[in-house]
Amino acid sequence: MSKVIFITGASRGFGRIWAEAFLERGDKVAATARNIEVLNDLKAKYGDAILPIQLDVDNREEAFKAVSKAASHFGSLDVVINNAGYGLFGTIEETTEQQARQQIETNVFGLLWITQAALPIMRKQGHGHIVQISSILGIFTLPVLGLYNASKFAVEGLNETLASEVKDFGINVTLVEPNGFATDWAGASSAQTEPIAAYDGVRKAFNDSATEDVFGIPQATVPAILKLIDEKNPPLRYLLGKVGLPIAKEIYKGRLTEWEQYADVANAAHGK
Amino acid sequence: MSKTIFITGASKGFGYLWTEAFLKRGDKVAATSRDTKGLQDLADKYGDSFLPIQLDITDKDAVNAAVTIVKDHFGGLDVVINNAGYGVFGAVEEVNEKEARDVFDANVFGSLFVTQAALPIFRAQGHGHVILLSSVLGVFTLPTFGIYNATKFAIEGLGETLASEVKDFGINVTLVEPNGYATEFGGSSAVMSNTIDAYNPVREILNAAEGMQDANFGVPEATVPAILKLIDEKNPPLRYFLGKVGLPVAKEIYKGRLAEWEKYADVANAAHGK
Repeated sequence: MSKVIFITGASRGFGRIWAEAFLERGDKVAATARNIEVLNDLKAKYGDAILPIQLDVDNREEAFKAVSKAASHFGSLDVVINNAGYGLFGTIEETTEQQARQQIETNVFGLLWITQAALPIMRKQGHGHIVQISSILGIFTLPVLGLYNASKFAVEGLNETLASEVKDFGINVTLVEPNGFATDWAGASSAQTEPIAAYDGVRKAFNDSATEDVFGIPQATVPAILKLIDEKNPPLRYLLGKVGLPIAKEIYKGRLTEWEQYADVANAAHGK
Repeated sequence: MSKTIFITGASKGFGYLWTEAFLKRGDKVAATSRDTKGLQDLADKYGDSFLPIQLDITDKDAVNAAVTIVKDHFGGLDVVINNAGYGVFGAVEEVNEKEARDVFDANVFGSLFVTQAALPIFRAQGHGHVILLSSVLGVFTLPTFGIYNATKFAIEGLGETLASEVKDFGINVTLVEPNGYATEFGGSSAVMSNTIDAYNPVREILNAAEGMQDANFGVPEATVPAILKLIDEKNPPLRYFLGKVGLPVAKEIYKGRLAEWEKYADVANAAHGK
């Protein structure tokens, strides 16, 4: 059965690929981008099935208007995919206030506004699926991506909570957690800090670790996304790519070991 | 050996308790608060060992100035404790824009600015300990704490990253993760969002939950030995629970997440495309 899907950041990368996949299989898609000219070809091909909406998710009022417009245009809202986002490359000490604020603005607040706009609609419907694009870097971290990591960790915390708050309304929440994929994320879509020379070693090690095999093929994510939005009981967390699970296992093991090491101290600190 | 400690949010709660404990054992302390009235008694008692500073940590320029003053005043800086912060109580749908922005300002950007001000000093010294107050709610979540959870998860991501970026400079980083304690966190320090009736059942379930009962709230004074131990550690840990709640819950939560990921492992691997 065809779904009505609202997806942000549809001009390129995952947003573009998935929007096209939804349209190809007969779903209705409200696709947002800061510049909707780039969606003209999809409009020409799919006509009324696509509603391109010009939107910068940073603008809360516009975000609410866009979600409302999509829901009334298509008559319902089945799936909302918060995909718009980008990465800031630079060490924590190198990051300016503006860069830090902008990273949180788009990756966290933009996602929050769209989600808040969708919730009353989905509550009224008694159903809906909110899909938040997180990252494996919402589970563990890499140097030189501190504010990006922080933004995706924030998305994980926010939406693990949301899932527990809305399940009785028939609303599902999924955190999609891709590893690196060959999109513009590390290139044209990225922001970069001014370097501090003391961190050149850290930066070099980070760049050396970005070998070809760790980056997945974007089109390969399509079956997984289609499967996800068709799931009757979708999972809360959903990795894309082969990198995430083995590392998450190791990382979680390491954290538990460290916590165990000081368990007596922690318990004594309870005081009762 | 006495340490020089910079700690934010010192007028009440953990900030005040720990400041007093440091001073009592002979450390030098610079303690910040938006209103330093509450620190006057410590200033009277400890004189030159204590420097109270009025500071709004969300003002980056003011933060830089304050950290410089402290370093010059005491001649160095050993430990920075990012303690200032508070909770917002409201469902994700209930939280308004100002509440969301303000708590990120205090809990995330404030800690970021203070840390950034300390880093060049620590690098020049070849040593330093950055302590960030996270929470068990930076590891797992509770309903109606969504935006607070988000800020503490963000701190976890920042702290874990920072540790990997600065270890070769002799700088240590620790995320201190308390469970609930009987401070003003749930009282006068809290921000309560306007409620939407549809979420009242969620609130009722939360209030009845075991984790919210008095027994599971710790005694604030009991954290002092743990904090003194932490700042004296030669190789301090990256993560450090305070209280008995965190570890058993983290074990279960991590187990559950791994089981869910395992269930879809084939799908995830196929999505790599090579």
